Amino acid sequence: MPLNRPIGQDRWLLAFTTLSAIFFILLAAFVRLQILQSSEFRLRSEQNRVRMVSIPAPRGLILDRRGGVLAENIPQYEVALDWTIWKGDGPALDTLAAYLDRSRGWIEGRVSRSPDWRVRPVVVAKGADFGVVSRLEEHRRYFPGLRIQPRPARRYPYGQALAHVLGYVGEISGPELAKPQWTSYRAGDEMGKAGVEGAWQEVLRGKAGVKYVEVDAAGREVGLLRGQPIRQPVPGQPLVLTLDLDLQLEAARSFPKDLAGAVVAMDPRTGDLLAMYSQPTFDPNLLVGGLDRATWERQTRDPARPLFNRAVQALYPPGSAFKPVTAMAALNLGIVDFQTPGPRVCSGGMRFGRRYFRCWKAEGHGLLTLTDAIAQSCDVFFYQLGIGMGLERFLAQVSQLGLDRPTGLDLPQEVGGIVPTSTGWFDRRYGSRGWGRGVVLNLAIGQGEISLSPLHLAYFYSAIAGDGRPVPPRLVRGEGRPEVGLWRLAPEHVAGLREALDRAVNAPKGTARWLTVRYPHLDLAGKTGTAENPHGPDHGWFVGYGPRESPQIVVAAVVEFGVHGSTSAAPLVARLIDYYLNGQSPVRIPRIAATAEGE
Amino acid sequence: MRGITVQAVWRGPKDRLLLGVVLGLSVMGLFLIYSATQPAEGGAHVVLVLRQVEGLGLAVLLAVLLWALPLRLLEQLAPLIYAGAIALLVLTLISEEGDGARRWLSLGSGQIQTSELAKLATILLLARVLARRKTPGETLASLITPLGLALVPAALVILQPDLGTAAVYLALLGGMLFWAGVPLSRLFFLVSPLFCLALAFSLPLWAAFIGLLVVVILRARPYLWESAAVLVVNLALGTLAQPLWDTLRPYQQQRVLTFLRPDLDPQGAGWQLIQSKVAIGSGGLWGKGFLEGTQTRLAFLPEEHTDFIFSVAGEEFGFIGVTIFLGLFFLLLTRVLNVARDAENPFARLVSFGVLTLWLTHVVVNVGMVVGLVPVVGLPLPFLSFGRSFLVACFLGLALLQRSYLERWQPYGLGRS
Repeated sequence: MPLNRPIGQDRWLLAFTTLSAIFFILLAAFVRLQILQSSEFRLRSEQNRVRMVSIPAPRGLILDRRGGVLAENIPQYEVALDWTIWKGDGPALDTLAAYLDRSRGWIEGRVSRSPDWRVRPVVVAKGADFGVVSRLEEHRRYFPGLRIQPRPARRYPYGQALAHVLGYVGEISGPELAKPQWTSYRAGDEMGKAGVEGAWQEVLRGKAGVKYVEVDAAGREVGLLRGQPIRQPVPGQPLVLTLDLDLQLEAARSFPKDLAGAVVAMDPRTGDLLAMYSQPTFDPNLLVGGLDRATWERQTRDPARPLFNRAVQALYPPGSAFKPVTAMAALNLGIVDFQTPGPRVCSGGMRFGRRYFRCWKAEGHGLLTLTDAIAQSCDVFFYQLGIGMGLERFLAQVSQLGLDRPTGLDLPQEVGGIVPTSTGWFDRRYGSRGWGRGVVLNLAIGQGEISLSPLHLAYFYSAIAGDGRPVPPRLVRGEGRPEVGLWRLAPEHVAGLREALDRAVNAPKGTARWLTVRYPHLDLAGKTGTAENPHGPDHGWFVGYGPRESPQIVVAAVVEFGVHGSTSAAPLVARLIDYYLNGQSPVRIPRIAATAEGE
Repeated sequence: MRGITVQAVWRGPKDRLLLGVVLGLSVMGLFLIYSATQPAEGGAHVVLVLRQVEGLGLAVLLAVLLWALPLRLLEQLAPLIYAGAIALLVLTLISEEGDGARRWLSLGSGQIQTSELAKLATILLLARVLARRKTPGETLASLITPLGLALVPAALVILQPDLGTAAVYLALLGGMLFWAGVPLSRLFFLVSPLFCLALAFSLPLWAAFIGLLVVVILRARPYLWESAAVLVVNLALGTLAQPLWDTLRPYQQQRVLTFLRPDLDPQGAGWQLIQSKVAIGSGGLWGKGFLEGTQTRLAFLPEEHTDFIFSVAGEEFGFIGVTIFLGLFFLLLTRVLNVARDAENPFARLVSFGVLTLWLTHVVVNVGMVVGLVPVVGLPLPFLSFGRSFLVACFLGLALLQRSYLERWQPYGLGRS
């Protein structure tokens, strides 16, 4: 019987050979992994278990010139769920949702929208305050996988009043990440957008620290990696602005409600921007951390454009406020001086070519000197100046001022004005036959194809208020006097212009005389402007400075649809100058109905 | 009956080498389990190790008891034992345990994995059935009984579901048939349907396989109807394979594919394999040291105290450690092979080879899986993996081997004298 003899040696041999072969193959596999590929796996085992965690750096504070805090960081918490641990316990999820003021479905939705929920905890609440967080911590044992992390958030204590100047912060967007200057940023990093936050982002952001953390397979931090020091974050540098907080708040308070416009206040000696306010405005605190889509759309689509900084981004025809520029041009060309009256009498209008150009005062101003023409804002006088200069020479003078370019203020949104620089400009725009010599009359009174921002006007007037040299505006405190501009008003012109502006406010027929009549203590000079506006009621301008002797502040304001410049913009400027110089002001700004038509 | 007392057994002849290697591996297993069950934050966590020690104690105790029984008794009782094991398997299927996988049966304070016991029972009954045959496997028909004996528990296990363990039964069958002297061609015929199915998706390969089949048939000259049966089955499977696949729903197809190629599912089984390789590979030549395995400690290795225990060894003891372990296993299995060869009694021979097949299958599948040579199947490693049922079963196997060794000069068992 075959089985009663010892089993064939051949079967044993086959079995033994197979056994040996199997073990040889197994050993070979280990040779491959542990000898040949060892270093590669070593690296991977390190990568598995070590994670680099960035420690956010506190963002630099933004302060006003006296140290008042304009933008700060408040401690907030980010609540996240490690879904791999949570295991979707129903009732606990409902409780958690209630604490966070959300629904359970919303939380589940967030989890399903996070592609890496297996590796990273899913953030379910970004700006949770201490109250919520402490309650969650108390009941932590009901919420397995809960992760709470402090994440400071930006806060603007004065919200709307400083919105346009400061800007806001938000997460860096996809398109921004792609830009070469932002290569050091990663998705989720906070970035300043608009305003000072944006312009000074690199200074404010500081440098995030790094710590190396050991993680387990679930991605949970187990502890710090031994032997690896923590690189502490470098806090962002604080930024001291030239702004005067009190003045800024006063500007925000005083600006006529329900109207749009802007006011810019500068120190003519240094170029320091003392206040910049634009209306309508928005609350930047709402934008921190990102808005939900609906609110964002509403803000950007709002026809009133609250996000628009009218102080530097909006261009309006300057109207009569431009007359000192025309005067300067004529003075430079020597076709006029301050004392010589005429030659023409203002009788309410004049004929030029085939058109009749009116003066705003129907009965006319009579015979005026340049000084009075400015103070009483006579259009006819300036029409004559324009004709006398001729378009080419006029434009050449104006273009020296550089108003078609931004002033160089360190805000990213600033735009250059619309200023024709030569006749070629008109040719390009209308075709060589599409326009006539009459444009120079309009330009001379600041109408027509000229549009400037409040900042531009403040900039020009600061030369008048100063020593004839324009001072580039700046927002951030710097050392000493900044670089001077490229042009200069002759000293006698400065004196003459100042006299004219003084009379506008203080002399009997000045267009803004009513201010000093009502408030005799006011010490300021300035120019009214009324810009005709094809879309509705005129825009009102006023640019002023004070005190008249050695001015310390120049304020330019435009009020959209504010009708006459003297009605709305003038009291605003007067009040602000008065406030700045005296700490308070009785000047009242009349309420104007938002839809007032014409006069 | 000789040797019924434990003391007699204790003093009697025993294969010391076998004993020594088994005990050595078991103790090393304790160390590995300890390392594998330490939490990441530190602190000693001995619960699982102590449970394994408990299991070890129980295993030794039961093994000693079994060792005291003569093989003849076991041969007589084999059908009964088998029936009992099947009953337990059925019971396991019925009772609801754990997370859907019904592998455990609660017994008082503990749980047993019934399929482990069933494996031993199957070995015993297969050995008995095959030992009685003079010329087993002369006809394919004669193989039906052993086939059935292996397939019944396998089917029950598949329903648990536990595909890996079911495969062990087929391996047992194959091994024991081999040792029983079944002609190799018949063995080939027996496994041909599996190859056929696997190759059915590549026409040239499948055709080559059929060709090979024909060649073997011509050379081995089985009965005509057997040849026909084999060919028919294979051809049928070949043609039906594709349509059968199409009737499966996508998720079922996905399950099969994931089983065969786990690396295609990086989140699931593929991830386990990757982590295992990283752990082992990063161990290098000397390993990272006991308790210093970072992959282990930080739970990157899944199932590290059970299925992937060898990865722990690889990470912490390096290639040197792995070679030692593999060497010990090789020594163990060679020794068992020799016991299987030297026993005069066919029952003893078959039982021994059955234990060999059992241990070898587990070692090959577990170690192979851990390095990525074998699909990720959850088979524990004898003596090293955590798991009391399996440890007990392995020690019982040891007892059977010791008994075979003890009785190796005894040529006659049941049905012979």
